[in-house]
Amino acid sequence: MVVTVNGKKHQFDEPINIAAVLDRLKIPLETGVAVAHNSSVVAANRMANTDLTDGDSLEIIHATAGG
Amino acid sequence: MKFLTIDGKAYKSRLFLGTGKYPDLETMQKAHEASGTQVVTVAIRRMDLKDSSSASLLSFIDREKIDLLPNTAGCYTAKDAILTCELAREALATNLVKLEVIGDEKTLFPDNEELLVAARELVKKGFTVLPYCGDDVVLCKKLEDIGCAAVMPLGAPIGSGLGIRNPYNLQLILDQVTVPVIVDAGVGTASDAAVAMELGCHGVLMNTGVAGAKDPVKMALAMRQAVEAGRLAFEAGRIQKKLYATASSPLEGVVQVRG
Repeated sequence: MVVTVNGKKHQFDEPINIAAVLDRLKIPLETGVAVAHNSSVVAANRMANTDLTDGDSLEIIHATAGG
Repeated sequence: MKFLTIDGKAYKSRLFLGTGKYPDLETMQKAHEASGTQVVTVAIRRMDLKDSSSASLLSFIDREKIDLLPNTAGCYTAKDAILTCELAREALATNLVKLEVIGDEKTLFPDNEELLVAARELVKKGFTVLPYCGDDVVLCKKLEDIGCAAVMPLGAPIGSGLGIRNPYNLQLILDQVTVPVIVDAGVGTASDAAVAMELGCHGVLMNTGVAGAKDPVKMALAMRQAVEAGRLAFEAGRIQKKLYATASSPLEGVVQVRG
C-alpha cells in the first residue's frame, strides 16, 4: 500500500492507521502538530481509528517561523 | 491609552509581530519581550519528516502573554488557505487566523476574489478572521460585512519597508469600516508605524521591519514606542495644518528699543 506523506510516497506492507504512521515516522503527536487525511483535518483522538487505504495522502504540519 | 479589542478580547499592545527572519530564536524572543507584543504570527508548514525536532519555535513564545496568530502565507487559493486554517486550529487550539491569499508572487499582493471566498467560508466555520488585504475601502467593507474581526490592509508590499504608501486610502477605510484596521506589511522604521497610528489605525503588524533590522531587539522597542506615540497623538487630536505661522507667544508687550 502506498500513502503519500507530505508529498512523498511511503510504502506500507500491512494495513495501517494514522497514529501508527506517525509512530513509524517518529513524530510525537504534541501541541503544534496536526494532520490532514485526503485534505480533511483529523482530530488527534481519531487518528488511531482512521485506517489508510492505498493512494491516500497525509499532510503533517506544524507551526514554524513566519510573518 | 485605550485598549485594542478584537472579537471581544482586549489587547494593551497594538503592535503585532512576526516570528520569521530573525537571526535566531533567542533574538526573536528578546524582540517580542522588548516590543510588549501580545500577538505574534506563525506560519503553518509541512513537518520535515527527517527531523521532527524543529518544533522548538513554540517553546520560545510565552503563550501566557502572547496569542498565536497562524497565517496562511504561501496560499494561492481559497481552498489551500481554508485547509491551512483548519490545520492551524487543530495544531494550536486557536480560532484566530491571519488570512492571506496571495495573487502574485512578485508583489505578494492579495488575490481579492479568493480572499473573499476564503473569508466567507472561514467565518462560517467559526474562525476569527483577520485578512491581509489591499488598501481598498470597497474590499474592506465587504470583508467587514462577511464578518471578519478586523481588516489588515497593506501599507506597502510585504517586506519592502516602503512605509505607508497611501495614507489617503487608509483614511477612507478608517472612515467607512467599523472593525479594527491593522496595517499589515510595509513598515520599515519607527516613523512608518507612527504615521499609521496617527492616522487612526488600530494596530500595526510587522515582521521584516523588526527581524531584518541590524539590532532587532532595539528596533522592537523603537516600534513599541512609535506605535504608542502614534496612538497617543491620535487620541490627543492633532492641530490643523496651516500654511502660515501663528505666534505661540503673546503679541502684546514686546520689548522695543527706543529711538
